Amino acid sequence: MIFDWYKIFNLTEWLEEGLVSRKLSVSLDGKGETELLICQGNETSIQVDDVFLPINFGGKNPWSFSGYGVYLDENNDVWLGFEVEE
Amino acid sequence: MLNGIAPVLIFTIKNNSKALSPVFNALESVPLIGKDIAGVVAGIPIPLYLDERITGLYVENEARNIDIETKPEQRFDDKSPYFYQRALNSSVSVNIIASKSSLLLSVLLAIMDMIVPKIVSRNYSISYFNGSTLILNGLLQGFNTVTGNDDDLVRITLQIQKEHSTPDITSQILGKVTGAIPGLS
Repeated sequence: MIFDWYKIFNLTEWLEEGLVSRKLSVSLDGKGETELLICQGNETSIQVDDVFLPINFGGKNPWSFSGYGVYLDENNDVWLGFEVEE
Repeated sequence: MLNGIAPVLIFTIKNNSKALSPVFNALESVPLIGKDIAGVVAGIPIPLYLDERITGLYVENEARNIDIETKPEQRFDDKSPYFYQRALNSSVSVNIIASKSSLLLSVLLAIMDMIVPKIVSRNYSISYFNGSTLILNGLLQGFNTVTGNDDDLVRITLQIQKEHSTPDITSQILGKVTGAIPGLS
């Protein structure tokens, strides 16, 4: 599967803030304004367009569902992906 | 009062003709504030005196609003939340009563129709002076009129927003990387 990936935030910095959730409104190149919700429970997740994306869930990285993906890179940056046709 | 006689509304419509801009930039000659008004939107100034006897337009009341959105972000471990604030608007709402037969009422309605296509480009400005209430180079936030059947009056509500600078949106667009994972095409 091929995705258009966008770097959203750094997981280490997010965990240091100790927040429960944060709503972001970001401008994505080619997609426009998108609202995201970063949630913190036992693990960190992103909710976008009513799709829930747990980061590195069960060791699966990237985690993808229903055309959306989330990836944690070696710098602990979290990328949000939208599947594109190959 | 700054205006001296009655409340004053000044609409400045940007004149795209470079040759005529200096000619129509008449507001620059107004003492103290002329350059502030004319410098931002060089164009055709159209003043309206809101005086019942002169123009048939009367300011019944006005209100000043500043709205701020406050968002708390809850944190773990009983720590105090972060509070983020942003200004939603800083505006003046003017309620005007006009006689149906007032010529300046027709002018005001025509100016509103002229401004609507310029909302996005911001090639216009609205200034309002009434005693301690002063808005320079404001933007239109809302306009509505109510015409009654029992009298010959038209009630107008004009909301003027203090102008804020346009945010640099291009610097906030996140670029994309295409591939199975970022960095791997």
